[in-house]
Amino acid sequence: MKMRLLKMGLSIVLVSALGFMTACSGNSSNQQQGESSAPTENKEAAPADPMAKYDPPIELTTVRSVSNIKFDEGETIDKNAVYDAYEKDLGIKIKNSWVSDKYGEKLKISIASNDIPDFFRVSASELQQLQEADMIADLTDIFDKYATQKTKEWFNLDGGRQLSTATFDNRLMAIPGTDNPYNSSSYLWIRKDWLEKLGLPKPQTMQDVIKIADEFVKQDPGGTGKTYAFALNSSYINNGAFDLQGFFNGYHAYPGIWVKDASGKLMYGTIMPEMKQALKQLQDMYKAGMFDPEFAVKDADKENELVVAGKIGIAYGAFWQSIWPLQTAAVQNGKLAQDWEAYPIVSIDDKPAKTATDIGVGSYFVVSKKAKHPEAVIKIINKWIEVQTNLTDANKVYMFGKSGVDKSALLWKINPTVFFAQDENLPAGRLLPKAIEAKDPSLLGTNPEINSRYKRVEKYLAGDLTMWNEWAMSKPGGSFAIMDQYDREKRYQVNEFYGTLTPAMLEMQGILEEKTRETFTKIIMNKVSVDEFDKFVEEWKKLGGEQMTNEANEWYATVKK
Amino acid sequence: MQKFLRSERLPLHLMLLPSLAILAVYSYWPMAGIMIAFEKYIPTKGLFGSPWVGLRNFKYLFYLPDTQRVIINTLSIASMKIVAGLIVPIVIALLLNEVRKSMFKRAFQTLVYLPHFLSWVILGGILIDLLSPSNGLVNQALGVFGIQPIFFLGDNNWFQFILVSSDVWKEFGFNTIVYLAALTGINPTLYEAASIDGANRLRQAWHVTMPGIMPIAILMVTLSIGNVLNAGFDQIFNLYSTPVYESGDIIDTLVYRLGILQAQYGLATAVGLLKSTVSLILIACSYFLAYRFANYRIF
Repeated sequence: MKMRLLKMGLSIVLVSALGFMTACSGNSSNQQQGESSAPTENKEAAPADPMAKYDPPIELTTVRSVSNIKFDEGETIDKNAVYDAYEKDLGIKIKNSWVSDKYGEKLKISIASNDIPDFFRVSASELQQLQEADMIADLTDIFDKYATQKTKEWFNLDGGRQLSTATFDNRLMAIPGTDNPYNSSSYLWIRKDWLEKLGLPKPQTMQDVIKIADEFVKQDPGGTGKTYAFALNSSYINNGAFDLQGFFNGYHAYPGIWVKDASGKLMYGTIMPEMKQALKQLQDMYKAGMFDPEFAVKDADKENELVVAGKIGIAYGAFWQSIWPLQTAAVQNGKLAQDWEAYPIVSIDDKPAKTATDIGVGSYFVVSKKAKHPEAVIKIINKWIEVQTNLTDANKVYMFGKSGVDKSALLWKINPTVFFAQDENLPAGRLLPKAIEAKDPSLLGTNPEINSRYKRVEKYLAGDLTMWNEWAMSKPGGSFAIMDQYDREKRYQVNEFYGTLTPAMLEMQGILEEKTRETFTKIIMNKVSVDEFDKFVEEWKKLGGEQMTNEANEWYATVKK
Repeated sequence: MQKFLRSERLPLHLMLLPSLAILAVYSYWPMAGIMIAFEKYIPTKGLFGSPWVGLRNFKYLFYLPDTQRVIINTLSIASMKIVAGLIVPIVIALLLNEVRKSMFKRAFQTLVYLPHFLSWVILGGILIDLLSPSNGLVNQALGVFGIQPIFFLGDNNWFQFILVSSDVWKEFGFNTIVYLAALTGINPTLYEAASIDGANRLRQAWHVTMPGIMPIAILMVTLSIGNVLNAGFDQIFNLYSTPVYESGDIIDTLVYRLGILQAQYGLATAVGLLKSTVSLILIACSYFLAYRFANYRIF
C-alpha cells in the first residue's frame, strides 16, 4: 500500500486530464489512436501478436522503491518469481538499476545526472520536467500498436481523461498510473472498543470528534498512562495515513487542491480562511497536551508504534488505513487487540463535510528515449492488465508469487508497473456489504478484485485475523461502504484544476508546500500565534502563489466555456 | 632555466603535480557549473544549452524569506562551533598535559578520539533516541529531578545548543591530540626558567604554555574558518526537522532541498554561489588575521 500512499502524497502536484492543446480538441484519446502512422516513426506494420515473446530474451532496466512486500523465502526485489515469470512469458529480463527507500530523492539525482533506466515511475512534476528536457520516449504509436484491446479499454474507461493527463501536444509521453479518483478521500478511523468502553456515541459532528478526543485523553481507556488524541505524522497535510486532510475538510478547508471561490475563480485550498479556524483548534489541542509532541519528526510507521502501544484512538486517513498501518495495531499476538472502525468525516457546522479528492493519477510510467525496446514496456503493462481482468492458474504467479496462494504478502507489488481500475472500489462499496450480509457471493458480479475481497472476508469470518484489514474495509459500514455513501450524498470535493502543471507550479509549488508545512507545524505546535496564518497567506502569494493562481485561472477559462 | 632543471628543487615541484591535478579536476573544473545559477538548467541540454535567465534566480532568492534566515543560522552555528571547538580541546589538552600517569592519558585520548570516526548518520540516530522527549534516556534522567521532558531536537531554543555541543563532543578528541603535540614542542628550559623566577603551575601555563601553542591555535581557527560554511551539513541533515528549520536550517540544507528535492537546480546553485562568495570573504579575512597575529603565511 505504500505505493498508493506515495501516490497520495504526490497529489500535491497532481495534474490531470486535458493539456492545453487537448482541452480544445476534445476527444483526445481517440484522436491519438487515429494517428498511428506519424511520419517520424518508420517501423514495420502492426505486429501479428503484440504479446510475442522475445527470443533471445532482452533486458529492460528500471528502478524500484523499497516497500512492505513480504517476500517468499529466498526472494528479493531483484530476483523473484514475478520477474522470472516476465522472462518466461515475454522474454523480458527486468533488471533493477537501483532499489532505494528514498525513491524520489534518488530518482531526482538520476535525472539530474542524465542517468535514467529504460522505464520507471515518476511524479507529475517529474514527468513535465522529463518531457521538457526531451529525455523520454513518445509512446503514442507504440501504445497504439502494442497495447492489447483489453489494455486500451482499461485506460479509456473514463473516456481517456487520465490518459490525456500524460498527453502533451497530442503526444502520449507516459502511461498514467490509473486509479480510482475516490481513493484519495478521507475517513475517520476510531477505536470502537474505546468508544464502547467509555459509553460514547459514534461521531456525528466535529464537536463530537473533539469531545471523543478529549475523553480519550482524559480517561486513558488504554490504561497506558498517556493517551494522545490523533495519530499524526510529519506530512500530516495530505498523506493518506495518519494525516489531517479529513479534519481540515470538516472545516470546509481543502489544503492541496484547487477549489472554486465565491466569484467562480480557482483558489488554492491551502490558503482558504477556513484553514485558520482548523489550525486554531489543532493548536488548542496541542496546548492541552493532546498530541504526540514528536509528531513533526515521525513518519507513519514510527507514529504507529504509539498506536500499537494503545496510546492513540483516533486516526484520520484513507480507506486503506486498515491495511497499513493499522493492521499491525489491530491484530497483536494472534488476537484482535484494537477494534478500529471507519466513520465518514464530520463537519463543524450544519453544512455536510465534503472530502477532498484528486483526479486519481498520482504517478506515471515513462520510457527513456534511449531504451532499445520501448514496446517491451507496453508488453509488461499488457501482462498486468491481463492478470487484472482475467486471473487464471497460469498467470496468478504475478499476483501471489510462486505459491499462487493469496497470503496477503503484497507480492503483486513486485510487478514493475501496477495499475488500478479507474472505477475500482466504488462498486466494491455498493456490492460487498450487501453480499456479506446476505452471505451470497453471487450478488458480487464478475469483477475478480471484488470477488477476491469477498474471499478474504470469508477467511476473516472463519477466524483468520490476518484478513482483519479487509474486513474493516469491506464489511457493512466499512470504508468501502462509506466511499459509496460519499458518492450517493455528493460529498466529494474534486480538484478543479486538472491541466498539466503550469510553469509557476512546476517551479514554485515544492517550495510553497514546504513553506506551508513549516508554518502550519509551527502554528499547531504553538510556536507562533495562529495569526501567523494571515502573514503566511501574504507570503505565499508573493512567493509565486499569486502567479500560480493566475495561471490556474487562465487554464480554467479555457475549459469552462 | 637550465639551472632550475638541474637543481634539487625539481623533484619537489614534480611531486606537487598530482595534487595540482586533483585540485584542477575537483575544484577548478566544477566552477564552470556556476553558470547554472544564471540558467534555467535542464540536465539533457547541459550547461551551454539551457536557457539563460540572468539574475532571475537571485531575485527570487532575495524574495525568499528563508535566505536571510539560513545565512544567519549558518553564521551563528558556525561561529559557535569554532569558539567551542577552540576552547574545549585547549583546556582538555592543558589538563591532560598535567596528568602524570601515561596509561590514563593514553586511554583518555583514545576514548575521546573515537566518536570522530563515527558518521553523523549513526550518531544522528543515537542522538534522536537519546534526546527523545517520550522515551529518551536524557529526559528520563531529567524526569528523576522533576524536570518536564524537553524536546531538544524540536525546540528552537535548544536546537543550536545541541548542534554545537554534539559537534564539539564528536570532534574535540582530534583537536586535543593536535594541541598535545604542540605542547611537546615547547622547550622545557622555558618551564625551568619560569619556575626559577617563581612562577607556579598556573602562571607557567599562562605565560609559557599558552604562548607556545598560540600559533597552532590560530592556525587551527584559520583553517576551520575556511570550512565553516561546509561543516554542518551531515550533522544537521540527520538531526533537523520542519519545526526547527527556524534555528537549524543552514545554507547547505537549503541547497539540498531546493536542488535535489525540488529540482530547482538554478536556484540551488545561486544559493551555493552566494555561500561561496561569503566563504571567500571569510577566508580572506582569516588569512589576513592569521598573518597579522601569528605571522602565518601560505607561501
